[in-house]
Amino acid sequence: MFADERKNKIIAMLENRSSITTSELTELFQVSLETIRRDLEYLEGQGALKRVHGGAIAVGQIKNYTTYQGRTGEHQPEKKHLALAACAYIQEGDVIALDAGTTTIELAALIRDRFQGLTVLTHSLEVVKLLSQKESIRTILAGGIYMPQENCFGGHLTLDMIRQLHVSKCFIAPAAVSLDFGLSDYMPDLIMIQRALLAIADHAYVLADSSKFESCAPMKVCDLGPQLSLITDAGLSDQLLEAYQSASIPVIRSPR
Amino acid sequence: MLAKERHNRIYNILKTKRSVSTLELATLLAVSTETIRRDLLDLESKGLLQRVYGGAVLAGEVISYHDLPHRMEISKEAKAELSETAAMLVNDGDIIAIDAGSTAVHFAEALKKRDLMLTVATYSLTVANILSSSEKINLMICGGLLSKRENNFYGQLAIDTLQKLHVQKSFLCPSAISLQNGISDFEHEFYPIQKQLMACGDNIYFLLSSDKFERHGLLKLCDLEPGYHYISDSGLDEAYIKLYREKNIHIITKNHPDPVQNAEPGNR
Repeated sequence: MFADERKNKIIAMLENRSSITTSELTELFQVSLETIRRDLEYLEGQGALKRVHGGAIAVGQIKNYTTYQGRTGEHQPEKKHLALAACAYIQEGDVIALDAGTTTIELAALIRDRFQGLTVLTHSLEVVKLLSQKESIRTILAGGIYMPQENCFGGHLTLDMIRQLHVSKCFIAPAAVSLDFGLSDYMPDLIMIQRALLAIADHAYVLADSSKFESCAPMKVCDLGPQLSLITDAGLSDQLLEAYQSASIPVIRSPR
Repeated sequence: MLAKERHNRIYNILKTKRSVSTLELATLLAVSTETIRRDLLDLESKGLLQRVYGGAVLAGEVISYHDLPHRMEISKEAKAELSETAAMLVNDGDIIAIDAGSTAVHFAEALKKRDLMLTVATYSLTVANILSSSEKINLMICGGLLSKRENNFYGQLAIDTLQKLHVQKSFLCPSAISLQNGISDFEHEFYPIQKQLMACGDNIYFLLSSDKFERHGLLKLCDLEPGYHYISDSGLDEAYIKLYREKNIHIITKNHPDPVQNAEPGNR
């Protein structure tokens, strides 16, 4: 195989996976470690990937917007696992905020089942409906203009209300997470709300199933940093986990 | 029969029938209509009833609270009918606010059937759920603290948001109306929200099923102004309609259309 062919194949692999290891590449292409290292160096120079210890990770690839309906079926088991992991960070009596989205719904359902007394702020209609089933949970809706495509509320009225409040923990689930681009999403209204929720919380938790890693959406919510704890499922590769830890980004990976 | 006994019987009859004619009472109690007229004068001075032409109606009675599921069952047909009447007063392109409660639920359903393009603001989660599936409706919920019991939002957060809005028509569904005590309700949690809905609307519409007439609740929302619109169902006794018309309050029902229905929205 020619060097170019090999490099193209490496790029193609990273389109479907967020990380690859040098050992699997040497195995696959039957070339030396040194050869693979040179390929990866070249590709990193082209901005096609990012080298990490033991291999490489994808560089934020923009993925297309999927509708709320479409996302409801995707990665359900992973979302449930990471919602379970997130529960460990919630205590009775906490005042928390949940944003909208198919991942946060899983967390809302668990909260309804497992907690007796919490105060929950949200801008999601679905979350409100779920939590309204539990008498003892105080629910606050940041209302505003209803956005049917995302089944939540947005706009300046929503922001105004959020900014009047303060929570100890917020749980947001942006569309994409990557080391170089940070947290990103598609709709300006929702991005403003995610930022507002981050601003009013003492501790911020980002819920992102492993498929969201190293991809990006058109608009940035914020950069990653030690103040944001990422919660994800067991599908996140060891490599990526290490890459994040080296960058001092706390990642909580739910056990298999 | 002593006068006192007769007074008690008249009062009990009124409590069941809500309105009764002098002739009926005279027949039932086997006395002259003149005697009945004197009885009615007496009872009116005690505040127990209100004399109308040809008879009497029950005077303001304090109502007690029942929860939403219970209220959904009371006067269903009446509420559905008056909601259809009220929905006809909404035009394509209108910007409106809707109250909460069992009547509001019927009103939302009637509106949905009309398939109009609307902007709707509400504090009721039930109303919002009904309208959220309608593509032609821009929905706005004020948010705030959720009251599970009533499935509404309330509190300062809700009021703050509503204060930032202005609508052409506010549709309110309070619990009681009486000539003497005006429009009243009894949920102190939602009272400030209803007041805010009144404040943010150019035109005010009250949806009141016939069983709410000449009753009063704990909290007075406002006096009866001729400028407001009052909508009820065909079950409302003509006696009441006449009584109210004497005070310049026109009640709109299926059989009594709005005298200024053809006016431009926003002019009244």
